Amino acid sequence: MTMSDWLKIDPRQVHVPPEVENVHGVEIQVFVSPYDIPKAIRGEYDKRERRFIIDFDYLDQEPLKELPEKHVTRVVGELSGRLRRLKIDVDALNAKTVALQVLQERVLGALDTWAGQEPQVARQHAYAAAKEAIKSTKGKVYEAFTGAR
Amino acid sequence: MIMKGEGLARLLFRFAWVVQGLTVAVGVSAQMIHRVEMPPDWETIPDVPGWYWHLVHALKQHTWWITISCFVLASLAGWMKVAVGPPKLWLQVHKLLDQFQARAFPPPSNSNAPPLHHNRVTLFQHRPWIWAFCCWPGTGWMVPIQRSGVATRKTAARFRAPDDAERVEGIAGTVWVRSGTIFVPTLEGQGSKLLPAIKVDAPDSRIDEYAKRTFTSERWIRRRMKRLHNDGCLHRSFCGFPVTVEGKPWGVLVIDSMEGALDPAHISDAFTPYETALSTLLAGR
Repeated sequence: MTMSDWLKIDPRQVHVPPEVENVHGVEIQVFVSPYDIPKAIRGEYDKRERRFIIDFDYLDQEPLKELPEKHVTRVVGELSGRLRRLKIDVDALNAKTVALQVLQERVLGALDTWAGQEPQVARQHAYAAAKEAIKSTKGKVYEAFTGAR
Repeated sequence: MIMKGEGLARLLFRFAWVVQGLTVAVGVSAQMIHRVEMPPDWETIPDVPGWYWHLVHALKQHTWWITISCFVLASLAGWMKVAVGPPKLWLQVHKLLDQFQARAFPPPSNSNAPPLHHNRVTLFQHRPWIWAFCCWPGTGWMVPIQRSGVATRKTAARFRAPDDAERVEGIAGTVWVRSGTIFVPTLEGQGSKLLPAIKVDAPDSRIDEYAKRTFTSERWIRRRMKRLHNDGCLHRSFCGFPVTVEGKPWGVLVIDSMEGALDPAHISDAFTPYETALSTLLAGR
């Protein structure tokens, strides 16, 4: 397995647009909670299983549960639902040549899909924060993937 | 100055500590005495006071009742200690809130620094039940646990946060059900105007607007106004965000200011160094 270091996330670089809500006739903006913004992320490539893994680190630890899907498996916090780990089946993306761009699109696309499936605004924000955290690394999180192939 | 109920909590914690120690000691002693062989002529042994053997005899006869009672009492005392939390921990939380407040509201370069209670940080905990003479004590409440500074700490401001999200009250309750960060006034849009200044003689229209925008009732605001003196004014901007411990919603942090609108980026920056410490402290309860 190719390991890469944790990349610290600057919360100022995580731009999640607020949700505008109307509470008894009063308009409010609901922003992402600081607890839902990843503090650090890292990418690693498991050569044996041919999976690219992205880990997210938050303020607090909690029990985890795995939610396997067709090509992307996500590990989320059992209580908070925060995204803790993404495992992308690289072979399933493209049989022979997997371009970095395809991987990036798949990761960000999956995050958008899951955010859309969440009924709670706070959970939608958490996925959006994870997406923004990945984008804020400016591709550094994928270095383990490009370096290993 | 301590928070309202903080003195009682300290007393309860110490009482529970003593009760737990005593019950464990009595329970263990009862088990040890149970193994002591009573001499056949114990009632007539000279040099040993009669009450001693009577006590030993009684303990031997009721060993198991005593042990079970001691176990139950020690468990109850242990539960009380956990529920109240160690006073030293709350002291550390208070220090942390003070540091956060100082970072969020640095004193201005000129000498006209506002008093500490003009800009406050309050930690609310969500409790399913409160011991108070009020309507619906068991519906879920946001209760102030710690507040920065030295003044206005004896607050009785608690807000309803029931399962029915439509009936939540206050900034704390609204933040709790939404699990997100809220600023009043908002950054843009209809609610971006600073909250109206509420002084002792504030007109009804202002009170109504203030109550509406802070998700409280007019009656509640009027009660707060009764505590105002001379030029005193209610806080004019708020920010609240949820606090989670080990992934589980725990409570809410509310920042309020009399000075003007709060800057989200600045508040977020100010809280960053204390995020982990607060979660760790609260997880250690």
